[in-house]
Amino acid sequence: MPDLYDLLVVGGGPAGYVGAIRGAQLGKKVACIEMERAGGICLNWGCIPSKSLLRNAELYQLIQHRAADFGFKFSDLSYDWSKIISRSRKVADQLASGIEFLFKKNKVEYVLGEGTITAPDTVSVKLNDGKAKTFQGRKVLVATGVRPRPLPGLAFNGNTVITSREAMVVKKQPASIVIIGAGAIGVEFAYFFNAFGTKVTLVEMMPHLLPVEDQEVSEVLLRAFTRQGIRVRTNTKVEGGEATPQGIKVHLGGPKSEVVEADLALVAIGVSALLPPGLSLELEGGFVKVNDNYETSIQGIYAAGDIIGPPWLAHVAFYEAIQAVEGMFTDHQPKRVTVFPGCTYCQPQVASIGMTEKAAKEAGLKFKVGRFPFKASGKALAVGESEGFVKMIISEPYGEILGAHIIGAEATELIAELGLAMTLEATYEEIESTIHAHPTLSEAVHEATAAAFGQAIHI
Amino acid sequence: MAQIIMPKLSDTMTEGVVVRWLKKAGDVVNMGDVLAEIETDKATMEMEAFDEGVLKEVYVQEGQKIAVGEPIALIRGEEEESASPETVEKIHDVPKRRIAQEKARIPQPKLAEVQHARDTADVEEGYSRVHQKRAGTAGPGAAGDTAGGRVKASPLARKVASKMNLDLSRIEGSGPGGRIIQEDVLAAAGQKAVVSTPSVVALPVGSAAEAELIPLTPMRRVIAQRMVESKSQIPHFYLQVELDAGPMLQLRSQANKSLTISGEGKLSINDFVLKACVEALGRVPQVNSSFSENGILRYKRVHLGFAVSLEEGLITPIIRNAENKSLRQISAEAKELSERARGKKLKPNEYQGGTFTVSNLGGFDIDNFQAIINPPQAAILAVGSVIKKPVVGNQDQIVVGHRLGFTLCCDHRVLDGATGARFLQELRKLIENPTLMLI
Repeated sequence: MPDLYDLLVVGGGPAGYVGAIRGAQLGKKVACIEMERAGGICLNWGCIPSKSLLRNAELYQLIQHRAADFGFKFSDLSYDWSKIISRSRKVADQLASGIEFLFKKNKVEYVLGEGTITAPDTVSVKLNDGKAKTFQGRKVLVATGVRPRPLPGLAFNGNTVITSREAMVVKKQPASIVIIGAGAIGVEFAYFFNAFGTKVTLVEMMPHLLPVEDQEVSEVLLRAFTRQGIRVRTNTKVEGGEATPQGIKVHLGGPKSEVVEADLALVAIGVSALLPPGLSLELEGGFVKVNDNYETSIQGIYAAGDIIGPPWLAHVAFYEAIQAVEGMFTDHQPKRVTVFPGCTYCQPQVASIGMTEKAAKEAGLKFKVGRFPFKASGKALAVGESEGFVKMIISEPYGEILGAHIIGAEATELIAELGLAMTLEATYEEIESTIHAHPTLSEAVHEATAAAFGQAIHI
Repeated sequence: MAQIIMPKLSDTMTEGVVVRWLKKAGDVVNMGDVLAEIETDKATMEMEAFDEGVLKEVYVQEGQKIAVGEPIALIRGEEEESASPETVEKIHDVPKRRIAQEKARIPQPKLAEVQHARDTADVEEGYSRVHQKRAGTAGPGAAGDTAGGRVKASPLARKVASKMNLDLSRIEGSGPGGRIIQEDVLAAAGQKAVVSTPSVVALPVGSAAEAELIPLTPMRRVIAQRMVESKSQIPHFYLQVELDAGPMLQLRSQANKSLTISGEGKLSINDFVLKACVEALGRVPQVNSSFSENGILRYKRVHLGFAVSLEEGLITPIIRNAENKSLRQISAEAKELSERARGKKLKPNEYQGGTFTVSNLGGFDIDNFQAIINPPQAAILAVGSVIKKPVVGNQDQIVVGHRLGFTLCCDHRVLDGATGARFLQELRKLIENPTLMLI
């Protein structure tokens, strides 16, 4: 008779490890089954290691192009590519061991292997050491995540057509790269490679960079990228590609069709569900369908994180897992995700929450827009980061914050204030009557809010 | 010094209008003096002083609408008037001032009388525990307490609630830590939770330019809120009957002849219907009750409500303890209450706390209709007009009948079809044999 668990979590990424730990905190007996390493894509192959790479890019770009502005002189500036990559790996490794420590601390049984859901309460695991073990649980949480979606006509080969995972450990810096897809991943890698001098062509099918962001933000980012030397092709479809002795040829369609040759092609056009083997769960739009309690079509089996569909964001996965697990074991009524921030860590950074101006218009809402450029911010000028702006979408008549869009330095940190504001249903008056420290970049949030009602002081 | 605040005079009141100041700044005020007339959503009432001193300041103009709890005037005690500024500001005065503030409100009828029959401890023995709990949590005292305490609500929810004139203390929060969020306020207002759109008025596009927006009066708002609450929460079912009103009409005309001679008020058809209901409620007491999560409250007393239409809405005055009253008493009380209702002069305990309601549209030539239950009551009787029509007589012959249509609208959580039907059978016996009402 196999051991009986309260909760079996399949997948150890952001949804899986958080769900497992919360279950254990609630006093439940929990096992987390992970194929590779705790932390998932986010920690091992996504959010975290890429932030390490981007920090390198940001520093290098600052020193290389703007050191003179700050009064620094260099005669021989160089970098060690392998060191850049290995720093990123070290950070990922450190954090993954952190999760393993948290599992121990919370008494979550960490099982390395591939889980198959054989019954609503049973997961059979092919352990990585070759053995097999069957687990029985009262509840099962599926958090197996997603994998990059291949582009038809340009299949991944791990060599010249790669995913973000391979891009972040590429051994030799490519001389040129074509990046297909200008969502957060594509944009971040475009910034990273370009900062170190790789010739970058960034291709997007939609009319704008970061298509989910507010159009004004996309336009400012396009200008910044163009100035940095990135070649951007929007409204452009990739029609196919072929290998060359040096790398790859990519055929770009549309009115200005062309063939771009590069060492590498990075495909970042989206993701598809990585379903666990075993019982088949009902899908919706290719992802696992769940009800308001995060329960799948099979009673007792729940799902959270990327596997249940967009937005594919780690912080959304954390939230969903906690909601799902608390719903299983307490009288908490789980909530679905409604408002969440989205962040892109190129320079200038992009962060947003809530509705874009276009979305608010399409919803037929009555609203005001307030903008404040960083070039009018004392702190931004002092630190030499005057690019970008804060844009607030504020509804009438109550002054509800419908959305906030920031492009510029530290945008991803600044968005937190607005997340809290929206969760608490603060209105423009609460933001306006909150004293923001001077001088800080956060004053721009305050001023943009006031600007919606013509009350900004510094503009 | 005592600040006078806008008092909460009914459990649905969120704001009041100062109709008239009877004292002006500088006037000496004695305890019990009438300071002002306040119009609530239901009635106009006199506000008495609970402090002595000089009316120092009046913050509010006549006709101005003020939210419950907002200051409207300031009374300075006489000793304070003569005392030096230092002594006025003595710290030990603070609690006294606070007490004075508490007291400065309308001499409210005792809590128990204000709200509901269940608060008068008239509930049957077996339900007394339930009753106490309810009275503690849902009585007007409790509502007042919450209004004075801190209500956790988001800034957006507060704005929306104040715009819609909703009392936040009556709304349950679903946000973090039970906080009231916009969605809760919209749900309470019976609206769909849309992101704060400019209030969606479903006017046809073409006629929008020709429409006129009539602002909601406090009464209209309360009616809207209560009716949505009733129709959306109470599973209504309807039982319809047609009665022979002939004997009742005969008795009435006889009685009225003698009453005219003795110079007393005449009896109306509605008076007979009211009396019949009181008797029938005694025979089928299940109908005289309320649903609550803790159990069904069955009332021992009959506090009979009857709808009176006003220009801006309607109100249901209550004939209290009607089970002890004769037809004449009921008739006299109904007449008197209707008159004062039309003048908006009813006190809260004269329109709150009914256990059963009669709504009569007979005067408007309505044959029969369905009404919406007045929560928390379990039923309402809709009464049509007496109509002459051919009916089949005792010997299967066609005769001219005087027919009266009744519809009993019941809360299915409390009553089942058979119970409602038994009540109507009793009503039929009484209406068709009206002398029974006189015994």
